[in-house]
Amino acid sequence: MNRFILRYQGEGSKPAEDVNRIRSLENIKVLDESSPRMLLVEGAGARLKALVESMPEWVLTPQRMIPLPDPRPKPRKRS
Amino acid sequence: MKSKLSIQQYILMPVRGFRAIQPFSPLSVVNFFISIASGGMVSPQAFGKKKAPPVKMRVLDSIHEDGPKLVELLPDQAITLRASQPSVKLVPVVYYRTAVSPRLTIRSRAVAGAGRAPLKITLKVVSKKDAKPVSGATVVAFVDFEKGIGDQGTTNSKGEVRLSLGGSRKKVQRLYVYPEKGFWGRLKKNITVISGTTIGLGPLDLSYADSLRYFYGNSPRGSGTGIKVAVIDTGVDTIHSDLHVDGGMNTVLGEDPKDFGPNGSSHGTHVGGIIAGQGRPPSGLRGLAPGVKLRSYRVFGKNAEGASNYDIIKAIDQAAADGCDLINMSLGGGRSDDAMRAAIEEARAKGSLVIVAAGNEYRSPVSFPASDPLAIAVSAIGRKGTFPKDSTEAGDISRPYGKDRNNFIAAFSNIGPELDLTGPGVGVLSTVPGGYAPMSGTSMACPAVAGFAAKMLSMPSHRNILKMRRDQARSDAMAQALLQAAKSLGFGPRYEGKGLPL
Repeated sequence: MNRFILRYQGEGSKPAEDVNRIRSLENIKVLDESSPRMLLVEGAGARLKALVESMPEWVLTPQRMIPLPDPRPKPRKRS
Repeated sequence: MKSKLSIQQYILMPVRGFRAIQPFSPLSVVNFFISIASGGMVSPQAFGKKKAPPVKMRVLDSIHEDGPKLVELLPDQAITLRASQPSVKLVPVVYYRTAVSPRLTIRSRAVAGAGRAPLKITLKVVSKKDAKPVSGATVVAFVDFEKGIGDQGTTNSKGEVRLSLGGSRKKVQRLYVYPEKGFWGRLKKNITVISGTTIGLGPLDLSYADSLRYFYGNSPRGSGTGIKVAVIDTGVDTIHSDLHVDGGMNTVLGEDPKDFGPNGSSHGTHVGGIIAGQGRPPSGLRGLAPGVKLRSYRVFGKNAEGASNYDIIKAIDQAAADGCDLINMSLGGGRSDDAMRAAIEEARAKGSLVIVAAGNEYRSPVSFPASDPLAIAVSAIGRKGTFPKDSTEAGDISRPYGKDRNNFIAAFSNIGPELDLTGPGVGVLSTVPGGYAPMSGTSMACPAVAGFAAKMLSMPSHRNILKMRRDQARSDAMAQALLQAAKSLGFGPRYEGKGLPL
């Protein structure tokens, strides 16, 4: 399952009404809503994308991992 | 020196929104956008600031009189414009192309031959001082450096590591040894190794003038007083004798929010020490701004090698909400995302300046989020003579060299037009859990700049900035002061932005 970040860009905290609309989507699970302006959800991206297009104060971004920065050279192949 | 820079195209926009309208943009920016709407060369007077340095810029197109402009200017002029007008952003024009599939490469065959297990060579790492074994050191051996062929391992309690190099006696092009703490690393080139080959490491002397101390010296104890700095990283050691962590949060989903100490990596502790180390050589190390209130926001999970953008965004939000004046992010990579851009924009709108490492992908483009127009992107410089000649840092020496030929842009540093500043990032001595260690990376250059910013902002000449209301104008003023403090070392803006803040 893919994870997505939904961020509210309007004034103040994320509106409960908007959160309920997101929560009511079929096969979408809200994993974290502790942030005043964000939600972390799991589910089908297409449904979320369609909903967010009707909610102009929200942006949708896939969750991804950022590696620990390390400039040390590493072997790519074993000899 | 003749300039080899060529004119580049940029999209000129207000930092917030698509059009320069109040209250999101200051009146001076609104007037500036309208004044250049008709196109052509822009006169210096158009910037509405008598003290602003002159900028020659051609406006090629405008979407609306107060909207984005397509402009042409020299990269150094772009830096000058950004320094004098932090409320505008310059986005380099990029051209997309079709994704060409990567070429397949032939995998090299092990010299040991088919059906035979590659022979392992046992190397030993010891202290040069007393020949005692050094455990926990990472040993990386390349038999072909260009092709990345080799092996790596970690020394055991006897200081030994077993590597598969394709034979019992092998010519190694490069052998790197990275100790955990207490020693300089070691780089040996073109050596033949056999089982029993011993590599000696030089112990650290905390009085040594590394690149950070060469450029910035040792700060007075009160430097940075009144400034709150966030370190968004792997966690800062809360029990190190040289560090005082004022507070923070662990934003990793599913972990204890109060556990903002190290996740198993020493990276965040090293970053924290560069900013706020409170020790004094020869028994400890001092950072650039030991008087700051240092806050740790841990975004890397326990022993995790990656951090989620969600956890990082939460940390940015929390740091801004906690009133951090400076937010240090020695991390990055991957594609840009709208949510993190929005978080950086909101932090700036709350008066916090976000300083980000450019990345360590060996001259690749500046990574995200450093490439965000509202972030202060930092590359890494090094200086010959600030690390032992046989240390791993010797492998970071690379062209271009500065006006002072001992200065160089670190081989690993990313570069590009998004760079704002450069900082010392090769062989920097700082704190790690249980001791001290040298580290290299734009990760180290970034807190050097953040520490400098804290030190500068705490000085009487800049206290008026700290007294400003926590809004965009405040973070703009911090950015402007920091960029104006920078001096070019002669590398050109693609490598150093506006230069090293001094």
